[in-house]
Amino acid sequence: MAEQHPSHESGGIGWQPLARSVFLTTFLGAVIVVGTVLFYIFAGGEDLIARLIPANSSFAGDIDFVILVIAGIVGFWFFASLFAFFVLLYQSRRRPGHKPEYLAKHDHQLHTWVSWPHWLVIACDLIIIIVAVKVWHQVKQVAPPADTVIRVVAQQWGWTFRHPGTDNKLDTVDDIVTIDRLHVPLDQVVHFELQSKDVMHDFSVPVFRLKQDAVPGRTIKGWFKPVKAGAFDIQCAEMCGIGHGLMPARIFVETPEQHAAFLEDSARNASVPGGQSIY
Amino acid sequence: MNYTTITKFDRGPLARLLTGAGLAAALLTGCHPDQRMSASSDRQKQLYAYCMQCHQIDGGGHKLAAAPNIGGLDSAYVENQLNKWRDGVRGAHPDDAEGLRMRPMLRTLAGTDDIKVVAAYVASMSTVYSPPSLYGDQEKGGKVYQASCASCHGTEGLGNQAMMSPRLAGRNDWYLVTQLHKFRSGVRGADPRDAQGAMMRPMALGLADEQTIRDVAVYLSQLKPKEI
Repeated sequence: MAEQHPSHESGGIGWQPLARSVFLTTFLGAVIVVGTVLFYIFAGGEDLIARLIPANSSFAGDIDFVILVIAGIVGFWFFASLFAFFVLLYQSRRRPGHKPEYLAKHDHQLHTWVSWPHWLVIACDLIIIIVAVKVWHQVKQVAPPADTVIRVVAQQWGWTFRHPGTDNKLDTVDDIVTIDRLHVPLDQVVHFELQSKDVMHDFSVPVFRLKQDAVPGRTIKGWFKPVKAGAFDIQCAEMCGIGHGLMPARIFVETPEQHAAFLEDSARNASVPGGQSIY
Repeated sequence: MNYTTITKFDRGPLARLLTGAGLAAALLTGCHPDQRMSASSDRQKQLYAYCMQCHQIDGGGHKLAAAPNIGGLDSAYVENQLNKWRDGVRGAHPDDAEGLRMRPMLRTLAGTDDIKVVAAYVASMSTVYSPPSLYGDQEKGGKVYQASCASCHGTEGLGNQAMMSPRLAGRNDWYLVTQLHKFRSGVRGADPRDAQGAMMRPMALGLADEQTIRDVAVYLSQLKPKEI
């Protein structure tokens, strides 16, 4: 390895090649990431995340907002600190007439480099905490009055959904019980009672920005209000055994006519307990 | 050792071309039809790898996973039951906790002949016997079995392929009890598409009480038929 460093011979005209390539890669990466984010913000505005995955519940926008606030604040400081790092790297580069020095004095100018970011971090944390707690309270602590109540029972490895039927009351004879297929009315506040038969599962509906653990022995209550009709995915989002990846389900958000048809159809076929093909 | 000798292994572009052709030929012979014939058992093992997590490598089952022993079941019966699971005829009842565990596993058998392949593999295994896990009178159970069940499942408990009735000799007693209860309550066999279930349900309802069910189950779990 007789390879010679160019800066060794020339007396140091610039950065070390390694530092230069690291800087260029990071800089290009930052330009690409910031450019993409800016493009999405200008093209999508508040719907930045909703462009990638539909936002389909009344609180989906609030949760996306929290994620964007956190990503924005953390992202800004990530790139700002990288920028400061590379500026310092450039200022202290090897060049003729400058000796390396170690700064270890009690200098007020040095203190500011610690105390200012410290206060800024606390201020930014406060913003994140205020925004997050407000949304958490709206989504998880309080719920609007229920239009309908359903029961979701998770087990290894499938979902049982109990719909209230035409009388809109759970645990009555006209309840509709389905496997892996949940039907809910559009624009109605749906409360759910989440249970598990065996181990921990997680009822996750990505388009609702809803994710709730199911804990065996407990009935966990929550709510959502779908705002767009259609069929969407339900996932188990808590590792629950060998079949965890094989336990998806579908949620059907139905218009009043569609939901009435579902209720009528289920009432007519009430004697048929059978399920649907899984392919 | 002289370092220059190492470079002599590379004898130029022609040598490299020939080496590449030789490697390609070796790879292609691996795809010869004869080779694929022996690969079918690899396919069986590959598909069974998912079943193995609960039903074990020898098909002996695992009670804690609610998985019965399946080795030695008739391939036509296994195929029939797997098709029922796939179509939601079996294991799609809300109260069938064990059947619902099995249901998503059919998502790993999505190929056209996957079910046939894995059913043949299960049938090629031998039945793994376990000691009784319940209190049951084998003598009484044998009498009830010969009177009520043997006409379809055979006096030796070997089943009857024409009626799609499975081999019962050597099946886990706890599994037989669970299934009889499911047949009685309609958790299994009540789907209108389930022809065999419709035959089995009244038979299961004909068993007098819990102890009779256990007697029959324990008798069958220890029954060793004279294989033909």
